[in-house]
Parts: sequence; structure tokens; C-alpha cells
Amino acid sequence: MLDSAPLNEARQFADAATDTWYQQQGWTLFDFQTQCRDAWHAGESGLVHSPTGSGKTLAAWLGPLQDAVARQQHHREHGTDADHPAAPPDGLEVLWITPLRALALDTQQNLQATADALAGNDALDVDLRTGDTSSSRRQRQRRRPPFALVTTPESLSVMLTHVDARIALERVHTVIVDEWHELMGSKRGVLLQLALARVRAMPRWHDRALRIWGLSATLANLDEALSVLIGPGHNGTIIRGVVPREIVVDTLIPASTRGFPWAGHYGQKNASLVADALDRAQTSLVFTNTRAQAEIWYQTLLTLRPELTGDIALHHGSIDREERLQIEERLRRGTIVAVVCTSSLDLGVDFSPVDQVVQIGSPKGVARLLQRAGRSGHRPGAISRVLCMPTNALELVEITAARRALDARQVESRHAPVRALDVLCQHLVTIALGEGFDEDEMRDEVRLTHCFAELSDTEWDWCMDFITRGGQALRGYPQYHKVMKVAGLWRVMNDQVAQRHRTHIGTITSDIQIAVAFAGGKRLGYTPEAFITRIKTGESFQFAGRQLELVRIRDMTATVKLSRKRSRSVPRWAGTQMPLSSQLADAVLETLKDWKAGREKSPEMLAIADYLNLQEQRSLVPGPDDFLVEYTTTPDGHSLFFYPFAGRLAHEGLAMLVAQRLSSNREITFTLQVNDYGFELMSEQRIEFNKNTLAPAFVSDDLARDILASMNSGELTQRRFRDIARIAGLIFEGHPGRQKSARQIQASASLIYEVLVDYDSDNLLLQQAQREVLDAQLELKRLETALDRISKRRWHLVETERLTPLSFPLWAESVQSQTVSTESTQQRIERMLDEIDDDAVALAQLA
Amino acid sequence: MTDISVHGELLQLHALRALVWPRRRTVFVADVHLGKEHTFARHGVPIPHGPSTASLLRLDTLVSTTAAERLVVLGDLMHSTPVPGESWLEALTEFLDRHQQLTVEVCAGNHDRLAGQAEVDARIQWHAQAIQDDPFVLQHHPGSDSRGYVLCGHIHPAVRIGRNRRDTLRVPAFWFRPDHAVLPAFGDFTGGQQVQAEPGDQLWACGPQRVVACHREQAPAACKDTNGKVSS
Repeated sequence: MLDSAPLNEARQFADAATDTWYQQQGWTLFDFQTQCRDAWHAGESGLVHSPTGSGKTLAAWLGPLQDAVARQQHHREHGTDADHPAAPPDGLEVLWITPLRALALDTQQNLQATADALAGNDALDVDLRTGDTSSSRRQRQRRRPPFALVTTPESLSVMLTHVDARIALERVHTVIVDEWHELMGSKRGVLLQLALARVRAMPRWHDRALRIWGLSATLANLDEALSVLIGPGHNGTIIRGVVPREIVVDTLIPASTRGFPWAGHYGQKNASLVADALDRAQTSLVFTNTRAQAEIWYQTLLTLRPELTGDIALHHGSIDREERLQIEERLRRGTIVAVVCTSSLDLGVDFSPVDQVVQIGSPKGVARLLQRAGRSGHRPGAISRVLCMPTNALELVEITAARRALDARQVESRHAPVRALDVLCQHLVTIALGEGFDEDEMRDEVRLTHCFAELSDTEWDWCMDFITRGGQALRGYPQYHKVMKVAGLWRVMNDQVAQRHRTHIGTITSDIQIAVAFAGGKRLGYTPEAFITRIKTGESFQFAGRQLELVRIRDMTATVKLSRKRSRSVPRWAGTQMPLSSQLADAVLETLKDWKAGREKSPEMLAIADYLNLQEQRSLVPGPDDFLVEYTTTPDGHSLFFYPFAGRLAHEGLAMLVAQRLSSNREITFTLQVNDYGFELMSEQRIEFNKNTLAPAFVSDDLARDILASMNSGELTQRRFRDIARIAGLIFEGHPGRQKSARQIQASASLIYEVLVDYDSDNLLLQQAQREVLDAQLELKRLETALDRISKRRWHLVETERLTPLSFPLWAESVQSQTVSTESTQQRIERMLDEIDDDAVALAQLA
Repeated sequence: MTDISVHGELLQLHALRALVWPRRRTVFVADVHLGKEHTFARHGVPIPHGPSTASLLRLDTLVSTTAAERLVVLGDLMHSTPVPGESWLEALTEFLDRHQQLTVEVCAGNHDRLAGQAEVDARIQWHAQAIQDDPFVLQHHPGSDSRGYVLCGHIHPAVRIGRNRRDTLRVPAFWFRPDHAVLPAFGDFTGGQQVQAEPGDQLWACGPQRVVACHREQAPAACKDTNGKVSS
């Protein structure tokens, strides 16, 4: 901004106003808040990392706010005409991006309150724009733009579809991205990278530079997080916030140590301990790892404490938004005893009354435990305390390990996706729909982002072909080209395409969701289609903390009524199970080693001493330098158990790889099971059990090729393809509760996948799906590390007569498992049909 | 091919997802959905061409190997009203040219709009009402009819197979019920809906090479396997 004596005076005025306001509130500015403000004034971009509730919002908001206040003051005293670079705000200047709609309202109120305090009431307007914002309010925003707008990556993208996006955004000088750590690892983060590149490329009013600031919780790779946010070519500052409060991790250990099951995820067996803990606190958050687990725990706690009906609530991503907002409001006011929740309450909003956090099951990651622990003890000087409730014996080790990692602040890294062509295709249509683009300029602009820095010319050309000529498919139909060249710019000219694209913008994807509602219309939330279609009319199930009976399903809505019948059926939402992080897995091995050496005497480790001793007696308790392999024969067959401790995703890949390699030169079919510690290969035949046979299956040569070959007829790729197809605009699904609009052009992702494989096998989206399976689904990097470690660790091959504490959970688990074979789909069908014949009676249909 | 007897008539379940009626030299198929990829393309969704042509090629094979004189499509021959010039219209005409002796009849399905019927080759005979063809009634939508046993389509039935519940696949199926039979969708770009057999139903999984029974209940009185037992 310009420098002049009067303007400097005005800035001092703004500074003084801030100080006065702070003194009135009885606060003092933290150093990091001043640092952040000064860096902003110096025109820098950057990243602030600090725990939730420590004042990051204010740190980022102060700079632009003070600047606006100073300009208003300057105008009052000296008068400036509207076109002067230091004229008071007249138009949108600050974009505040939030990952969750639920956070948007809270953030907007917060920012507005600060603005009112510093600039005077109604002097600076902070408005809100998300998918829920009414069109009249959006119209008003276009006519009279606010000073700052709180919005989501998707809504920003929708703004770019408007022809006048440039006018709406030309005065924006600051973009603040809240909870950047949540966005950066996802395709929503990619969408934002592209939108920011676009905003940056637009001519700024008076050449104002664009400052981009990220707010983040602690990550191991902050430099990478910054670079992804502001673009690899730009410089920025990393500002460290306040040192986190002390965190105490306690565990609910039952009096009888026999009380721990060897396996399982739900762990309601010792639920009375949690109920007792609720009695001791004012307001508790009970975190679970999956929505299904949350449903079950909610019911369990209510059964134990029926008198708390109405004082305990259930909160997860599939519960209706209205109900969630009500629960959040009660949390804020402290008028609720406990909320059973999932990661849906990990983020953002400050619930000061919460004085206890309970974690059901292992947190699976250090950063996650840190985040959840930080949800309590917001009073100054309070300690953050988290109470862990293990659901099985091994989780006791994980809790001790998590405490150790937390003390050492060994948090996880997050990595951003690269070359997400599906998101690029979507973005290009977005821009074509807005002001249109020049191909060369756009390619250069896109390559300035982290995600597409390495984008090849071939990939770019393919994407252009896909959105213009529709790949090979639309070559014969020039009239149906989605994006076409008009006066040198690529534009969308078809209204239908335009409308469909706007409603489909966004990359938050999930399974098809069916709305669940009472006949009267009250909506309870959303459940996966795959679950609800298995329930027959008249059958009951648990959802949103209620026992419900299915009345009918129509138009993407399941009508239900309350049921008296108790049912154990709970919807399972796909993809909600997080793998054990590398940090935590390593900490587990270190913990085991120290326990063996008698150096780790945490209450948890003492509680499972018997269990670990049994493992040591039947086999071996592995440490960081050991690679344990067990062999056991059970009535089901011959089982090999491998323990790389690399997390369930990497194990899934490893299991397929090893099964593929072991079966490559002999006739053998394996059934696979995986968990966070290891994997099982089971076969009906006896398996040679020696290192010479097994070790070659663990070499890292030809890794990617062998894994791809071992993948079940591309089923993993096919599952991955669903999101890609949706993002790239290949599938359009009806919205729950809304009438399907384009029935004629609806096809399932798997059907489209098959058609592409058969008729357009060079489609780069197929290759992207494969790449995502390797990178994200199977965590290829982690898998490589695991193989490398296995080659260096000492192998222990132990044949045991009975299952061991380590092998039992694998043996007992059947949900995650699958068969791996090298057959094609056609061969598999033939084999299964043979089996039906063999069984003499035809096979039962599977639910 | 698998032989079954329905109301005293021998019917053959063909792995190409068709039902053959040898005595009348007739082949039944349902839900071909020609031109579906073209419909997508018209709406700016780039699905490659190919499935329609492939479906017609399978019809070629079916007609030749069964020496059929009559092909009855139990609805949804096409996916939507075509735009003149779409390549599948030409491919359909070529198919009819290759089989000059073949009668092609269609029981119009919900996708076969009148406007669409006017666009396709005029040699195709359209029926707006169910066809009575003793002992059968031929129509698109499932349902019962006092005049006879109904052969129909519309549902695209599929069944999940696999002995090990960790290793299953969904394949198209024939669904024989007490008063009607639903054929699997014939088209290559159609997808399916998993159906639940009730007691008295017969479900036949349609593999690439053969058709296999997937029911354990007593067959309905209307349908008896010619050998008196399940076979393939």
C-alpha cells in the first residue's frame, strides 16, 4: 500500500485502536499475532501454525482489518476520492476460506465482532457464502459486496463460473485459508490451489499484490504445507504460534485385566467406565473413529444411563445439518452432558464448556490425538486431558505409544496430491463457464500450482481434448462439444452443461447417500445407499441414535418411522477407517521393545502384561529390529501371519503383492486379511514355511508392476474411479431428497469404468485411478519403506500350535479381507459358476 | 444353453443373455439400450462409442447360431430418442440388411418413445400393447396376465455369486417367477439391479459361457427343468 505521512498517522491510529480494544477486553496480544500482522503489513504471504483456540483467527485478521480501519480514518481526516489506492474499502477485499460449512457461520460472526470493535458497528461488512446461502443473499452480495467473505473452496469455484468474476474479485488482496492442514491432502485442496492461481492471475486493482495466508494445526512438514498453499515459486513466512498446553493422556482400565477382548472395534464391554467418567465431568466429548462406532456407543451409553436421555447427543457427518447445529449450539452453551461424535467435531469451533474429552479406541495418529485433546480445557492455564477407552487389548499398547509420541511431539506429515487430472478438467470447465480462457495462458497458470507443476504437455492436451471434443467419443458431434472456442477463448455455450456443472462443482465425494426422513418430512440425515437397500420394508435399524423401521424408499429418500424393535443393524460408511500412522506404528514397536527390557511401565502396559507374556511364550513380542512371521494351522486352513507394522493400507498392498508372488509358481489361492500390525495369508494347502521361500516375495524389484498385477481384476481401481468420474463430470447423480434431473444420462461409475476399459483404454482418468490406488489407497511410499525395513530386520519364523495374541485379531477379522488371485473377471465368474455346480445345490444369494 | 420347460414349452436360456424358443424359431432379448453412449455424448458426457455396435454384433451371433426367424425385443431397444445421423441407427440398418429373413418385433418399453420409433429402420415392428403368443404374453414391464405366462424385461436383474463371501461378483440373471419371467438386460452398457429370489422363484446366473441355476427352492409349477432337476 502507499506510504505517506497522513496514511502512516492513520495506521498508528488503527494500532492504537487495537491496543485499546485489547486492554478493554483484558487481553494481551501474543507475539505470534503481532508477527503475523506485521508480516501482512509487509506484503508477505505465509502460514501460521498453532493449536486450535489459540488465536490464529485474530492473528490473520488483524492485518487486513487494521489496514481498512486506517484507510477509513485517513479518509475521514483528509478525504480521498474513490479511485485513490488508499481509499476506504469499497468492495470485496478479503476472502476467508473454511473447509467446513458448519464452521462458516461461527467464523463470520467472529470476524464481524472484531471488525465492529475496531472499525465501529456496520463500518465493515463480513458476509457468508456457502452452498446453503440463498440466491437472494448471493444477489445482494454481488450488488453490494462485503469487505470480507467467508466461503468454502467449492463456493469460490462457483464464483469463478460467473462471467463477471474478475470484477467481483479484482480488489481482493488477501486470502486466508483456515484449517489448511485439513484441505491440503485432499482434492478440495487441489481445487483451491487452482482457484487461487486464477485469482492471482487476474489483474488487481491498482496492482495490489495478493497475500495468501494459511492457518494450520501442527504438521511435521510445514514447509511443504506453505509451498502447496502459495505455489512453489512464491516466498512466504512460517509463523509458529503459542506452545501447546500440556496434554495428559489417561486410560480407562478395568479392574480385571481379563476384561479386554483380543480383537474388535466396538469395545462396549467396558462401557460402564465411560459412563462413570461422564458422571464426573460437566460436559464431555466422546470421540469415536467411525460413524458406525458412534451410533453403537451412543446407544450403549443411553442403555447404561437412561436418565441422561436428552442430555446425550450423537453428532457425525451423516446426521442432518440442522440437528448438528443444534447440538453444537448446546455445546457452546454447555447445556449438554455429552456428545458422542466422530471427526465431525475435530475441527474449528471453540466449545469452551467442554471439560472432558474421551477417545474410544486408538486415535490411530498423533496429530489427531493432539487435535482432539485440544478440544477441552480452554480455560486459561487449564491442562488438556484426554481419557482413552481401548476397545481391545492391543490398543493399550497404542495408547502408551501415542503418549510417548505426543510427549516427543512426533506428529504426522500430510502430503498433497499431484496431477489430479479430474480436478483440472473440472476447473477448466469452471473457467470456460466464467470468463473463458486462452489455452497457453491457462496452461502456464495451472503449472504454477503445486499439484500441476509437473503436468506434461500430453496430459494437458488430453484434458483439453476431454473437455472440448470429449475424447474420441464426441469427435463426430461438434454441436455437442462441452467447451468450444469463441473469439479466441475457450467458453461453455450450452446452458444445460452450464447449469449441471455449477450444481456439480466440488470434489467432496462419497458413496451415494440416501436421505432418511420421517413421513412428516423431518429429515434425520443420510445413509449409504448400499446399506439402506439391504434393509427390507418393515425391518428396523439404528440410525441417528434412533431405532427406526423402514417404510419405503423413493426418490433418494428413505421414509422411516420409530420402531420399538431393537436392531443391531447399523449403517457402515465406507472409507472412514484411518490406518495407524507411521509415527504411531513406530512408537508401538519402540514401546514393545522398552516393555521387554523392563523400561516401559505405564499403567496400560502393566494391564496387559499377561497378554504380552503369552505372546512372548507362544511366539515373540517384536521390536523395531524384528520381522515376525507366524505359521498356524486352524480348522479353516493354513495361515501365515506377517507383522510389518506399516498400517492397514500398506498391508493391503503388501498382502496382495506377497500372495501374488507366492502363488506365481505354484497352484495356490490365498484369502487375505489385514490390520494395522500385519496381514494374514490363508490357504487350504500347506505352505512351505522357511525364509528361502518367503523372503523373495518381499523384494522391492518391480514393485509397482507386481502390485498392479495382483490387484483383484482392477476392483480397487474401479472403486477409486468413482470419485474421479464424478469430479471430471462423467457421472451425475441425483441429490438426496431432490428429484433426479437427468435420468437419461445416469450410469454407475463401475459401468462407465467397464465401458472405458473396453472402448477407450488410453483414457488418462483410468491411469489416474491406478495411480491413486498405488499412492493413496495402498500407500505405495509406505509400502516401499516397509519392504526396505523388512530386508534389514531380523526375521523370526515361528510355527505356533495355537493362535497368538497378535494373530488372533487377524484371524477373527473378516470384514476387510478379500481373496487374491491372478484370474481375470471372466475366469472368476467361470470358477464361481463351477463352484455352484460343485455344491450340487445352487449357491445362496448373498446379501 | 440350458433347457427348461415353461407351461409345456421348451425354452433355452442362452449365455448371451437371451431366451430361445426353438419350436417357434424365436429369440427373446430385453433392454438393449442402443445409443445410450450417444445420449450421454449429446449431453456433454464423453462416453466412448462402442457398446451399441458390440450389442448388435452379439445379436448377429445369437441369430446365426440359433437360426432364429424371429427376434422379439421385450422393450427398451433404444435408450432415448435418437438424433438423425447417430451411428447406431446405421449399424442397426446394417444388422437388418444382414438378416433379411429375420422378423424383428419390439414390445415398446419406457425408453422407446414414439418419436424414437419413427427414427429407426422401418422394418422393425413396434407393439404398443402386450403381445399374446400362447402360452406366453410378451411385454416390457413385469406383471401378471390372465392370458398367459409373461416374458418381460425392464428390471435388468442381476445376482451376486461366489462361494466365499470375501470374493463375490455380480452377474446378469434370468429371474423366473410363478407368473412371469424377467430377462437380463442384453445391452453392453446397461448395468443391473440385484434381485432377491423368493421361495418359488428361479434365478439363473448368466456367465460368459453358460447359464447356471442359483436357487435352491422348489421351482414354480410353471417352470420345470426338462430333466426334472437343475442342470446346465
